[in-house]
Amino acid sequence: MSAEVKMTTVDHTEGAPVETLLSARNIRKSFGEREVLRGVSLEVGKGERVCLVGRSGSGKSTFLRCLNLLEPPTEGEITVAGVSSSSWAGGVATTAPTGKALAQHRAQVGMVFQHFELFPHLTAVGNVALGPQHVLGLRRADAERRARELLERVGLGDELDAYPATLSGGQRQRVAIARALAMGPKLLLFDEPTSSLDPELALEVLLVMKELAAEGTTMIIVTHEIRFAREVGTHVAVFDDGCIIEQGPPQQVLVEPRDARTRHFLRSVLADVPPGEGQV
Amino acid sequence: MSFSTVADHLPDIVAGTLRTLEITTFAFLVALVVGIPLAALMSLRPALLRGFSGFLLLMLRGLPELVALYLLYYGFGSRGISMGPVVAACIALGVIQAAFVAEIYGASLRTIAQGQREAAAAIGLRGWQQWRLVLAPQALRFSVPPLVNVYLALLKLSVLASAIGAGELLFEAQSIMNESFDILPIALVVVGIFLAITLPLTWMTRRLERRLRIGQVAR
Repeated sequence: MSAEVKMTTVDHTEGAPVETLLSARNIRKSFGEREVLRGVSLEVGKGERVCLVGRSGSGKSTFLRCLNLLEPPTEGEITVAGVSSSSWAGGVATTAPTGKALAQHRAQVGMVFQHFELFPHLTAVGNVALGPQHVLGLRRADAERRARELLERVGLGDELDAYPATLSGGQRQRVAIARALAMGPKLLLFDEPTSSLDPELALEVLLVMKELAAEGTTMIIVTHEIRFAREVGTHVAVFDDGCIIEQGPPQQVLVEPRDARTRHFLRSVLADVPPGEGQV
Repeated sequence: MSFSTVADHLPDIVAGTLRTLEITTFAFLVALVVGIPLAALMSLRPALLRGFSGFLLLMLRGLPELVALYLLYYGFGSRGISMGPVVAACIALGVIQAAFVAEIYGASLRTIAQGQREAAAAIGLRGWQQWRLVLAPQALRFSVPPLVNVYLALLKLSVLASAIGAGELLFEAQSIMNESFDILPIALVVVGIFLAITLPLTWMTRRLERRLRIGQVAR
């Protein structure tokens, strides 16, 4: 697989040109000797929902963490329109936001984690209001009002003052989504948001994500839920061994994959799904 | 048995009690402060430094408090580094307990998963904000119950300061006993005073620990 794989991924199915929101070019990432990302490029247009699929350890989560700059790439370029533009070479940042600009980037590129990572010492409202109050500089009352509105939007109007420990996994993940939304992000990154949830709890999280999709939220989602990717995704990229081996509209990539490795991956994932769930 | 001796010496008993609380509290503060660099030293990357700090902690924990008191008060005092018995007690007891405090700090910070720092970073909180708003409040919650236990340990250890004449509760009690030969009532009063301080504190720690567990049920 060439490290120079570069494809334009902006979906033009509706005909109108889409404004590019995020562009990642030739991202490489090494942990010591181990190269986890070997030249990944991705462009995401405004309003797109890009699903990243692939085997565990194929680099998709690391790629997502690079986009948020939680993990600086070893090499490559990441540009988020109107927010920041960064590039790295030889493990060193040539241009990359630091301090306030870095915080700004992270707030504008919201992140939802696999294990929720709610702040256990704060209530649902406290979790969601923390960023608006301390990063966006809202007055506490305003930050909490925004938090209440968002929690109601994700269906948690009855749990405003609940601490994370008393919430179910699905509820916690919805608080985490509200927490990311509270920063008014340009796009949202989801790192396997339902992998640690029981199917019925996963469903309530997926429903919230579908609503966000319907509202035109730009999202990049690392997921094993192939059916969800097919329904909600506008674009799918398949990761294997630190590279994107195939990408395109979900109907093509997930239904009639060209690459043998994609076919193999899909067979192995769909084999785990009970009959009916994963059917094409 | 009459408690008239107690009544006669009430001012001495009160003074001794206050001195006991003074030694305990200042030794506790010494432990809290000295614990910070010790904990930092333990988390250092170079294995040699970490080994050194581990050795230092082992020494501190292996040293009997009374021996440390003698070393600091009589030993150093004989070579011109002299200090009052109260100061010597605060330093000796505090520094030894700092070894335990350092472990508490380290454990509390380790308890907070790396994910919490990332979640804080992901909403745009900056370094010091991550500490102030997310990490420190959680570490503090984990630290408080074991730190109360350190305070209790110091309260009990403070009686050792009587051996260098620090004038705390046991020292005052001994003076009254030697003077009046009315030993049992005085001893009972000393027992009563210590329990009056330790029991509520123990009860408070238990409650705190239980509340903390509820706040941390399996995720």
